[in-house]
Amino acid sequence: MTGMNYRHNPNVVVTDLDDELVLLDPVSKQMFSLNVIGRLLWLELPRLGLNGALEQITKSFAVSPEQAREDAVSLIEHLFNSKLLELTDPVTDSGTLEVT
Amino acid sequence: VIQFEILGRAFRVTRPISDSLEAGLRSRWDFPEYRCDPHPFKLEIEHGSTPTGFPTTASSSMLELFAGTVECWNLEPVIWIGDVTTGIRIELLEGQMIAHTWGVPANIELFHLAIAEGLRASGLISLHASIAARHGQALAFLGPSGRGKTTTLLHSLEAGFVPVCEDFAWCDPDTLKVFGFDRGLRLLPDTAKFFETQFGITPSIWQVDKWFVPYSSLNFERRAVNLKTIALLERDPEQPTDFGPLSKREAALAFWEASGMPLSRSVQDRVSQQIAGMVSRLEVRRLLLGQGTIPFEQV
Repeated sequence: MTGMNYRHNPNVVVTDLDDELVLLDPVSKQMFSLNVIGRLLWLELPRLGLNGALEQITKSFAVSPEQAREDAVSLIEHLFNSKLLELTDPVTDSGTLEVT
Repeated sequence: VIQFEILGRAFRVTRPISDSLEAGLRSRWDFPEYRCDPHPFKLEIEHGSTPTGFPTTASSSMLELFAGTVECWNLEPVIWIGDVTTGIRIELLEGQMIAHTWGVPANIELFHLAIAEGLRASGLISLHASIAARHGQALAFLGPSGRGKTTTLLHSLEAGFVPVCEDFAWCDPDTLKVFGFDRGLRLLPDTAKFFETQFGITPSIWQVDKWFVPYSSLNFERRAVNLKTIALLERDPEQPTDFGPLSKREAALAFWEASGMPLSRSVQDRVSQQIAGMVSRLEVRRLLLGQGTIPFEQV
């Protein structure tokens, strides 16, 4: 997961509230909201990758690196399974995200 | 040719259509009482035969309409909806929406779809909400169907508010002016009974599954008002009825639920920015409906 490159699903509509974020999938009509840390992860993940985004998060918020990583991995899996987040590199044959 | 203004935007249908279709369009969109300044955006619909270029190979999505599901091809700035026998081609251009419909009989829902998309492209945002006003300031009740929007609106009338809309409005996010776009209260039988008891007016028009009370029978002047507060309705019969805090993201989610998803990506992004701006400018509250009366003096 750490070496993967991520991109936002281009169809997702993003409502940025400065300290929070709302994501809408126009196809499934599902809506998701991210808190301030989730927002930072969403914004930085495509640009910096997981390690870079985690560095930003631990710099900006009082959260331990271990907790930040655990939460980030969980959120990325959720976003990926909800098709809000995509990998720029090919995924496994089964089409699932491999957590390493 | 039908021609009138929708909130200052010139709207016209350039080919003859049936009287019933015209009546349906006027009933839904013609509200001359708002007397808005002219707006440069134009909406034009032509009804005729199937235009050339109907997409056959591009990937499509399905769109839920009242009458059923239809196929939609988003080839921005052109959007095709329907099939070769009945459908619409909507083109969003700088400063105008041009649509071409076809089919016998014409599907009025496709007209409504194009007009709504055009109005959104012109800068307005739609709201499925009940809205009440007092002293020119509006309070919008948001929430899914069945949450109590209409009943809460009736309680606000008891408290001295006037209705802006029971179901649907357009809002200008720049000015926060809100325009009710329905014709009256639609009340389920038990709500109609409450209305009759409280206001001494017996609903006399039955429409499909609800009693209809036209605003014209309620003796107030209908006009645009300033949206000041949104209240997301929640129910908990164990708790006292009260206003409470609502986070910005909860408010944004409620706004999206109320506004609906535009067809085109460019309009989706515009509405997204508008919602973010409105959430930061409006008072956003939660209204917990439980025991006791609603403390409207708090808003």
